[in-house]
Amino acid sequence: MKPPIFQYERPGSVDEALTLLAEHGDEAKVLSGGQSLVPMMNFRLARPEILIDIGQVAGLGQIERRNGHLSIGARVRHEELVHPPFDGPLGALFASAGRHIGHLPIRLRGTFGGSIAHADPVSEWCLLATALEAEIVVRSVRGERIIAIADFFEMTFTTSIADDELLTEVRVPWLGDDWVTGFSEFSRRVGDFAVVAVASAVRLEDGRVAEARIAAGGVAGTPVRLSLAEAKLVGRELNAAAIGDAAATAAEEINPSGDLHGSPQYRRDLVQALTRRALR
Amino acid sequence: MTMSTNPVWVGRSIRRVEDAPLVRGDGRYVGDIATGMATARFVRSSVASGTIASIEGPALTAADLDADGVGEIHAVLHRPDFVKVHQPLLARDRVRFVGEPIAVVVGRTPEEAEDLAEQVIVEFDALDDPVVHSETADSNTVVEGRFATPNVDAAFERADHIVELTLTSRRQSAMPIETRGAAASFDRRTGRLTVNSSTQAPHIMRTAISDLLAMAERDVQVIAPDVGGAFGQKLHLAREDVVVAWLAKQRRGAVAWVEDRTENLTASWHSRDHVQRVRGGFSADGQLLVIDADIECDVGAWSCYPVTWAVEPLMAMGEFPGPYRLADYRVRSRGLASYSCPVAPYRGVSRPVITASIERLLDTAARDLGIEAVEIRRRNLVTEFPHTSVTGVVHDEGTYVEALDLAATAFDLPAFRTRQVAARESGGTDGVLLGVGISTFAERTGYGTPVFAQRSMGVTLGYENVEMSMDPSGFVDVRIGASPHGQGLETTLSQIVADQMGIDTDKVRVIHSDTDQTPYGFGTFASRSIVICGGATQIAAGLLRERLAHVAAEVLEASHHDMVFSNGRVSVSGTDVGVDIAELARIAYHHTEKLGADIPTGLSTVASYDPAGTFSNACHIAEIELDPATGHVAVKRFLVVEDAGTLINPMIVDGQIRGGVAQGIANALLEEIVYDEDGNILTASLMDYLPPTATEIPNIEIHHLETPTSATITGAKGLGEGGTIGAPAAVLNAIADALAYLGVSVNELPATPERIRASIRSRMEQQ
Amino acid sequence: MSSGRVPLTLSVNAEEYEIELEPRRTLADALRDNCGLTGTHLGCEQGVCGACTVLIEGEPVRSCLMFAVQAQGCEIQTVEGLAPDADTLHPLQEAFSAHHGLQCGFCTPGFLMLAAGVLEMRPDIGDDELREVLSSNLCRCTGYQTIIDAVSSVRDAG
Repeated sequence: MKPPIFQYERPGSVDEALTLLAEHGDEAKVLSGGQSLVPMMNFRLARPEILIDIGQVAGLGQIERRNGHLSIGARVRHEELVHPPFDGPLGALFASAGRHIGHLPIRLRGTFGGSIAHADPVSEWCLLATALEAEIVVRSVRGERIIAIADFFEMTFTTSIADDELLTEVRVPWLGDDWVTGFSEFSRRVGDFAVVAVASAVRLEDGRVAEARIAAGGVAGTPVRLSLAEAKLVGRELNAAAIGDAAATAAEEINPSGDLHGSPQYRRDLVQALTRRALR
Repeated sequence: MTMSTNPVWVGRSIRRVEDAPLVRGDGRYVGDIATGMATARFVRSSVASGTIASIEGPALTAADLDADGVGEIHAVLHRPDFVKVHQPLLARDRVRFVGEPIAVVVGRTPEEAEDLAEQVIVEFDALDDPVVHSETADSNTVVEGRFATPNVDAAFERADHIVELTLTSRRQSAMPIETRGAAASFDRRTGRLTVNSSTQAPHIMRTAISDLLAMAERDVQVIAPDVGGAFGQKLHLAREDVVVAWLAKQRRGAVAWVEDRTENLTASWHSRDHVQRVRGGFSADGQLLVIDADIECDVGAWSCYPVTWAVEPLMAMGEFPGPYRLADYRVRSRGLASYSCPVAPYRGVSRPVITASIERLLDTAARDLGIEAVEIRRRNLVTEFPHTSVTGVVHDEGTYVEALDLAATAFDLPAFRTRQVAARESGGTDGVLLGVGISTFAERTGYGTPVFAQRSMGVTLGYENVEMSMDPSGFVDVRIGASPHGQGLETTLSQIVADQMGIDTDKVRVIHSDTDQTPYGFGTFASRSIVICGGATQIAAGLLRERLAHVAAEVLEASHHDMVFSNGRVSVSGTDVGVDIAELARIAYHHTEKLGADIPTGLSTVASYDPAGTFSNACHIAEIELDPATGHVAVKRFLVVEDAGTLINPMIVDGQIRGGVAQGIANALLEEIVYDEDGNILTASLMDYLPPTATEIPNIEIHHLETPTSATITGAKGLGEGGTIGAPAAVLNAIADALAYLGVSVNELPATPERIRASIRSRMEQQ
Repeated sequence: MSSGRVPLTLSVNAEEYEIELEPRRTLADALRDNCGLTGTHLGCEQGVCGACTVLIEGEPVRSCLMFAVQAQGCEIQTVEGLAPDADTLHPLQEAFSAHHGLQCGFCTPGFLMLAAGVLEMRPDIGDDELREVLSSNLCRCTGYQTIIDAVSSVRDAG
């Protein structure tokens, strides 16, 4: 399985990359970590005529707290976020979700931005971005644009990034210690793509749920928020009964299609169990 | 009779001589030989059933093979119910499975070959014919075996309890990490064709290639270089290999094909794919009185050469009773063709499935009758040997009950039961359930011509010859017809030779897998090599020792009957008078004037061995954790008690057990080839076909019994497939045990989380 | 850069290889076909089996998921660079043989490089994490425990 011929470009800066994208956009793909793109090229499922390797582009590697959000540069490697340089409920969430991404050699090369742009509906980072209401920063020769997560994932492997745009940064609103986060995933073997995964973030006020975010991957073409399940928690103590209600609602509110790895009914069963386990 | 001293090498876990180049990365696999060669790539069918309307592009097709007089593959059994079908190397006008090779292109590089293949446009007309091969009539039945003892119905009448179940084993792939491939080159100087192939049977392949290409067999050389795993998938003649050989001959140059993983998962031999409907009659105290079985094997679109697509159903039929006493048995076992990838034996070959069937039958009866799983087996396992099964299969001495008892003790079932109850009581909604499952089985191994002849194959497999010689410096060459590919035969045979001749193993070199350098043999498969090739090696070494003894007798002026071989020397028994073997070797070649006229010159022997076979036996116990909310099963503990007779190298034996059990666990839980209704494979990559990783396979605890068998001259039994045979049954029984409180079991391989969860949900909805 | 063959210098096992290839050639194929280092094997070309694992700047990576042109300027180590000389094996190579951590040998170079990288990065890696990391690669012959034993023994020997 060898890729088809392509023209290889290796820009030295974001501006050079943007110029290439402006010129070649619809015939080009951006190569970041390559752990998702290169296999697709080996299978000849992805056939870009121009490959823009941003491996040498500086300024995309930050993990920083800025102005109430966490700024994650597009080229941050997965493994850096599995042992995150930040703590609190966000640190716990990134660590527990990130270790499910493939295996160590994949996490040492694959990048956060690459995952988000690749938009696999069961990707752990896509799920987190959805649950955490992240903002996606893209740049082009036309300027910078900030895309709310609700407008970002369109369908499987498809985002609203324009052909001439480069994803440079993801901004995750910071969560204080009044938040509790959770993550639970089911896969056939360690390191496999999730069949279904659930991420949760719940803010407590006086022992009751003030805000709830529950997102699931593997139940639709993009990660989805389980708003009915979330509503079951608001105003209640985060106890087994409330969690059980939310989990049962989650199973009913989704409308998954089936495939090789899970029928619709099985995915409902999984969402119920994983919602329960994420929230505990 | 000369004797060497007590065994010094046999029974020791010495490190393998094979290891050093392999750990250095100096192994030479077909892909390594292929670098720099022109690359062949196959254009394959994208429809499961159709006729080829047109092929356009830079490709060679069946027409080109026909124009050159290239033959077709005939995989035959000479029995009246076997349907003979002739297979062209490239599909001629009809395609019968997605992935069937239709045409071939050759590029200068692998990348270019793939570019060229994309330029080939094939137009198909879909063919809506339920009959895959017109030779089979409407049923698609390619072989049908039947057997019945006279009183089956009466036995069912007598039975106090009847159990019925259907066991489904879905398609699986042997999936070696190295895919198939061949690198062929034509030597213009000699007119000979050399084919390096990732094969388990180089000599059979040589004969087949010379037949198909109408070449003199002496002009064909087949070499199996280092082979990266095979497990049966590389035993059978690959159409692609023959096409590559033909291309090299046509071009009078070198051409290579290295299969990619997609091709391997879609177009290389599939396996298993049985549905077994089984009915067993038991007495009230759990005696198995009678079995009636209906077995259907989907064998795909083509037969496999040489063992044929009959082997899966017919072996299932013949060996169903396993290690148990069974007086009455009726069976119908069929092979059915379908528009899918051809099926061929994979490690275990029907026995993983029949073992799962009979073990599930016993456990179900045990539960119904209130008998312990261990106890019901004790009441039914054969204890007197030799035992002839109801189908005429002879079992030599074994330790079926002893292995069971040792396994049960080592496992500590009572302690497990306590933990199992505690887990269920404390678990709650997200708790896990524990389960334990047992299987006992006997593995038929090391059988040669006497058994294969009964199968009436086109090629009767069986004997092994060994040519052995000592050079003037005292080093021994052993040329064998077996073809090891990870089994450590170079090491174990050297241990046998070393003990026979009183020398060190580093004086022994085993040469294999090159048809120019070795005597004709059948390769390595069916757990045969240590028994048959090892036996011939032992005989040859004994003969060589006799030759040396005669030379020593002349030199030491004593009787050749009184020679003792030890530590590289030959001495007169009971004295210190002796001579180094190396010196004897030198004399044998350079000073024949010192030897009597009746002593043959040189030091070479040939030996042959062709036994009827021997049964090893084992008991497997699996402990699992089952998550009822998701259906996920983790194997937490796995214990094996194995009796493989005399163990030549226990470390290598354990390695075979571990690897086999890993494949068996994966068969039970993970691996499945899935087709859609149009005959497309959905599991065409390793993200969809799921071999196990280190997380899914626990440490296997191994205990040995060693009952040297009188059925083989080494006392060794084969055992390479045992792990795959017993493990699936043990895991299925463990799942049923974990879910016994619900009365749920899953009689499917693999018992995927989704299937387990669906069974649980459906039972809970009924309640 | 273009799509046709381009010159490239790869630094592998502390030696420079000057080669020429298309940008689409993967690092795995470049090592094997252009540099003649066939110890790195191909099992799937989709980044699952790990037989192609090499070290890049000391980190284990799947060389089938990189284009050779991406590796310019990087320090690459393959299995051929593990043993110090022709008479001596690397401790991991010794351990794999001693523990029977290989049978057919095809997955072995990938496991050796994975282990070499991980033990360098995390010399005190715990048993559970080690088994998880070794789950990165597939083996069909051994059933894994002897591989785990081999790597653990080298870790424990410090």
